[in-house]
Amino acid sequence: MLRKGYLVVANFAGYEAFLIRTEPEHAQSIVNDLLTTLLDNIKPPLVFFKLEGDAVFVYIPEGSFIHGKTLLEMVENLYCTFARTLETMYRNTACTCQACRHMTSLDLKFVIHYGAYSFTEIDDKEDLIGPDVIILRELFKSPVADQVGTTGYALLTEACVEAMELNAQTEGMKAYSATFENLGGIKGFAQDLHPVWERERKQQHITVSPDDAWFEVETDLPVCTALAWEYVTEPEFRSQWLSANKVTAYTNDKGRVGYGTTYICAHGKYKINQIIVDWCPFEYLTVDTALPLKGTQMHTTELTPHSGGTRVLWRFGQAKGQNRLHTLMLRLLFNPMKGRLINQLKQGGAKVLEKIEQDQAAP
Amino acid sequence: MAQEKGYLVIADISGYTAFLTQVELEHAEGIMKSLFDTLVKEMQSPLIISKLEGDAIFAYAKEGSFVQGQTLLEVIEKIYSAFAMSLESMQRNTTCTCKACELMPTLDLKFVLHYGTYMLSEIAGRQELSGTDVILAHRLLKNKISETTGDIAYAFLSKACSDAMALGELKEGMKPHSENYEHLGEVSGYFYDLHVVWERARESRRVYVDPDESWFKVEIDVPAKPALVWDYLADPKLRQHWLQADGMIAHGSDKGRLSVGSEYHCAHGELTVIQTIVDWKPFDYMTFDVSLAKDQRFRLTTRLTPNNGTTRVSWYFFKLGGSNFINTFITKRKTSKMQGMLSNFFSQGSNLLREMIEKDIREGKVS
Repeated sequence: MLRKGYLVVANFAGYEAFLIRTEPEHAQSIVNDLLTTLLDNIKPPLVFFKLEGDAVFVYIPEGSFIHGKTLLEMVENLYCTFARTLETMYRNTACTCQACRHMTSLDLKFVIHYGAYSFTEIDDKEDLIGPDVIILRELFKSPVADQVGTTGYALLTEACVEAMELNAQTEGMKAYSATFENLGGIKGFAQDLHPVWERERKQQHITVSPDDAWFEVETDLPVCTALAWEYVTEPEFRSQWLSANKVTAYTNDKGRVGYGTTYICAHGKYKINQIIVDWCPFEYLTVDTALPLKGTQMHTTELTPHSGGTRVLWRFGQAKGQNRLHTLMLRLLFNPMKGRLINQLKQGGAKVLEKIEQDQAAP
Repeated sequence: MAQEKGYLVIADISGYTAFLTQVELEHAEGIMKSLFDTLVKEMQSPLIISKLEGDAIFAYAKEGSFVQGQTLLEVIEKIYSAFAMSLESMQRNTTCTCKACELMPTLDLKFVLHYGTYMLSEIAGRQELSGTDVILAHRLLKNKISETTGDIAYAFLSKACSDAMALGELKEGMKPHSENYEHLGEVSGYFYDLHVVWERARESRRVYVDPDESWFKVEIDVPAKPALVWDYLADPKLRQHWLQADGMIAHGSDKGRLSVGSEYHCAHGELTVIQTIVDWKPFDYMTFDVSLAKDQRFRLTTRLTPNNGTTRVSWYFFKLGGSNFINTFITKRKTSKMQGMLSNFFSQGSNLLREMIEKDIREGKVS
């Protein structure tokens, strides 16, 4: 039976040269550690289906996420995990062998394609076949780096960009095109993953800790964390959570919501600005809210896998002013609103849950 | 991580990309699955399958798992023959006109073999093979053999492999070839054509009654070309007529197509004679195992020999044995008594066959 979805392959750049030129024992254990880390971090909706040498094959059935950029974020997360692991390994080794000294010559690249595939069982193992699987295979073996100017990239085929509705966001990406025997011309866009890791590495983590919490509200959603992330960050759903008339996201990163994005929440005639100050996809985000009377207040929304679904925890911090007196005044002013805010969030969560159940019931 | 030495073998289906990208996936899927199933079934000890890699199967054989180098070649050849046979039988058994069935003959199989060191390690609960020689074996798949020689079905052995196999004289039947690979430098080796192997294997699977060993024969010259005469021999309705049967049904045909394993059920009064096709080589010969009754069985090859626009049709008979010595003795004795009857019957039949064809030609039905 023919299915549609996203096909992803991740493999190392510089793998062959690394294994050929360095001590096999250490080189292989470095590669194995990196692969194991990657495999451990492949979580729903990503479905791992096979490993071939250094190539990790993954697919995502159509309808597993709402917005294309969620997939891109999952890929970026995997890249950061890889980069962090490699950096830690490199820093922690005292070994002077060629393999340990040159492990940073390895990089990670992704090819993401959208198309049809079919399951087939050979030798008691499930495999994917189809013309689109071939396209994926050809692309991951071809020299993309020369064209896109980086060894750590996510190459999205044209079919993928279209299916993900990322057209506006390809501006910052490098165009790619190549002609393959039997397949003809294939076009795509490559996202450089180096800046993503640089940003991640430099970024300070900002969260409202349980000790600083003003109140907490929990809602369990029957979806994976990647999908729950969409239900938490998408303006449409945020307005439900926060009982706003409308939430709009203002971003300077080609339509991509993330670090630095401002949500504008309209509550009747009041407009409240919320700036995303920490953005750690599928784990948590922290938002700084500009309160009336020049106050601020932060909240962190944490996502954790919980009995097959995701637990969404909203942790609100206390209001903050420009000095102690200002802070005290703001807290006195806002404290009576606590009960109402908790109720709003609970009701909002119930509405989102209802929406999810409707979506799940729909074919 | 265990380091081992051994043989690395990759079987790669050529024409796979062109095939899968040009045809209906629903049909292609079935074809690919049955080819891969054939390969997996044949790739057994001393070979251990490591994994499927798209259009290829990666396997290895530990050092010491066979003694003679020739054995590995025989394993490869057996796999190739099974693949070719599976492809051929799918082609023969389909009358489907879809693109996938039409393009089936463009598929073929090639092998690369290398000998070296590999590491076995476990990742995500599965055993993985890795190392420089594993990379080299995979690189060997990209070579210029087809481009320069036109051979698409071949086995390419790296020099390390042919040395380890101590091929000696066996190398004389192979052609030298060398390739240059990035980071690895020049890799030389030998290759040979597997089509030749398959032709030989196919020939040895033929079943026919050798004229010199036949029990007796019946012969006639018919004024038509073999392809036309073949139809009169094969078509159940026409066959019924010259065999003077009351009824004739073909059983076990695939979408109306007869091949090895199909049966003619031939009714003569109360007696039903079962003729099972054991070999079928159109326009050349057909061989049946015929069962008249319990303990009365014989093999019959009908051979067509073209001769200046006419065709000599020869029926060669051969007595079949039974399941054991005594049964064989009884069967052959009982069958022997049938010679006069069978000889007369087929002489009459051959005359009828000639008359039918002559009449149809006269009436302009066939030419």
